Amino acid sequence: MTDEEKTREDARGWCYSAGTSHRVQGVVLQRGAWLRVMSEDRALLAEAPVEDIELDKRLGDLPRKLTFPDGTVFETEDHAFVLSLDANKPAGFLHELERFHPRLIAFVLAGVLGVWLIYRFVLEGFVGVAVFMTPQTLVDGMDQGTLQALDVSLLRATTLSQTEKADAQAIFADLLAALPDDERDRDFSLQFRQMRGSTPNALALPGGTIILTDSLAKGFDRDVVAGVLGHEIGHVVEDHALRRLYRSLGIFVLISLVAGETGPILEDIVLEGNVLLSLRYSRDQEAEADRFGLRLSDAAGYDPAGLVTFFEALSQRSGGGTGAEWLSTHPAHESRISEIEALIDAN
Amino acid sequence: MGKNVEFHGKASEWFGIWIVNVVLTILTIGIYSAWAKVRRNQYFYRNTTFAGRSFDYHATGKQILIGRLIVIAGLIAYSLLAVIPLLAVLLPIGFIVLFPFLLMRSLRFNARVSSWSGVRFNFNGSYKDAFVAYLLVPFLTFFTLYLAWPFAERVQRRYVVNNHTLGRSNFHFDSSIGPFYAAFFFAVSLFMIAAVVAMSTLTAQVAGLAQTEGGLTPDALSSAGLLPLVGVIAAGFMAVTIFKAMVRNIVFNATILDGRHRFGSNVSPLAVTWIAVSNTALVLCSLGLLLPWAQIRLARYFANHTEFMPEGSLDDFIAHKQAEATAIGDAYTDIEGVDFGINI
Repeated sequence: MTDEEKTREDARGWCYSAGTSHRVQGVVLQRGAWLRVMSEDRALLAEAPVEDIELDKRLGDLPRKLTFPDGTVFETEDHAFVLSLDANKPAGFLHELERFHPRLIAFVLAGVLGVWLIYRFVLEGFVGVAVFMTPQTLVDGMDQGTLQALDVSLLRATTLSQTEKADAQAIFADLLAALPDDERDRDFSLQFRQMRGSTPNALALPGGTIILTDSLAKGFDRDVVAGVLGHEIGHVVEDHALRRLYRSLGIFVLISLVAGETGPILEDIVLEGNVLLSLRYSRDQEAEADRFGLRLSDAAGYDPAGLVTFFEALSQRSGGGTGAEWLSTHPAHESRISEIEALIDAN
Repeated sequence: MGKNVEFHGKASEWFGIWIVNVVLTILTIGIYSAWAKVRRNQYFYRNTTFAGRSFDYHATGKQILIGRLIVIAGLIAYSLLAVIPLLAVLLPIGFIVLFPFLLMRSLRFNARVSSWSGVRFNFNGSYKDAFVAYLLVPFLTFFTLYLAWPFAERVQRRYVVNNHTLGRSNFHFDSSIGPFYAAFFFAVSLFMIAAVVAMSTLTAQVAGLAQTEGGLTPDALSSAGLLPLVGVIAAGFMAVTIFKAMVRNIVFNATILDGRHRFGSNVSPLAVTWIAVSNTALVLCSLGLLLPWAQIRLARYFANHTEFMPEGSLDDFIAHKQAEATAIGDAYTDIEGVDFGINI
């Protein structure tokens, strides 16, 4: 190809002068290896060899920008002209991928598969690392804060006698003594509180603070208390609360990183809504804590059937119906009882 | 409003760019997300024109990646140092002191990598003013039961707008407190109404349970309690959206560039809420695939309800001497999910 053939190239567009917002309509002309920008009244605005001119990456159908060494920018919608300049530079590979084209269906499938793989495998790894890296002082702080908040809202001071408290503490000590060695360095402590509505219950906070309600300590025998406390120790040892929290934070980071800004309301739901939901244990975690509690109370010399007694009593209190199981984060009492009995039989 | 402000983005085109961003981000275990952000911002900025002249975004993927790596290193150092009991107390305080600095740097970075008609923006806000606007005043409103929040909002908007320049030309915003209070009470009263409706639903449900034999159980109660709770939270999100939309109108309508060019905004708070709610529902139902369409829809609505009223020539904005932009503050707000960008 001779220089003569190349000279017919030109394109119309806007010329922005360097350093100001000033712009005029003009034309860019190719003269051999040089580009020249002329205004409509044929004044020379900028010129430079093609290889010194910076081309922006193609993005959708947006006009292309040619930046001259002196800072002058020529903006044109003549894509064919810019493509002809681009011949010796890397082609618009990214733009080609991004074009609206049936190929994008493959990208959608790859995206869905990728997100699923990350959710299924990478997220658990991230949660594990984050739990491992969380300092005990931070978790202890969470315990203190949560306990204070609960004291204001749900809980009241205990009415247990010193003997009743000492009994429960003795059971708690037996259970802790039966823990594997590497789990004993946590800051386990047993707190006594009365719960509104006198519900027999126990709660575990992530750092190892376990709250026992008066009606559970008073109304049930030692095997039951051991079973329930063992279950709560299971939540702590398995780091269930922290895992849930990191999981939802991980999902938030994942969505922000992969999808970008999600916009008003959706963003709030992805962050706060997600974290709020994570405050409850999942059904899998409850089942896991059941299994742990059984083994622990058994190892500490208590009758593992105590947990069964507890759920039977709860079941009677609530008149049997606890609603559909899938609605709740806790498995229905009946299925828990049968699972626990199966576990006891198996051993 | 006038045709002076336009958004030209197309959902089909943006979908292709977005899905490629998603796939490349996954394939590069997140590293490409820095370049994806550049492409996303360029697409939205360059497709937005005021008086026929477009914005542009000039940050590079490398800048943003470095900023993010610094933030991740900082977070890891933070959690390692927090093991030491004394530092566990001091570090959160240090973080509070650092927050206005990061915010200021983020605004400056975003301004310096953005341009309109070929001229870059800049941001000259000081640390002291950021501290006052984002920590001190909000903290003080706590003692008024947040009833003085509109003052905090106004201080923050003044800080952001009045410290921005386009080249050497200043933006100026000021307003009496009245409109801020009108927006505040409108949003709060809508929230109250929604909360009362949610609470009375709860009461009705509990009453219904109490009448059925053995229906009033802890589990049934917590399931019944969940729905109104979700309702109250949703009402809170909507109230915030409504407030932000009304504040946007106040700020745009009272902002002047270079002492003569004016702006206007007449977004309807209820329309913005409707778009946000329906976008959320559609994006969730489509497993996220409608997100690009939802983003275009919102951007187009904002552009259609924004006005630019230039007074005289737009050719004589002069660039300032470009100082170096750093990506540290930017990446921080990126991770926090906060965006103080031009937000058109």
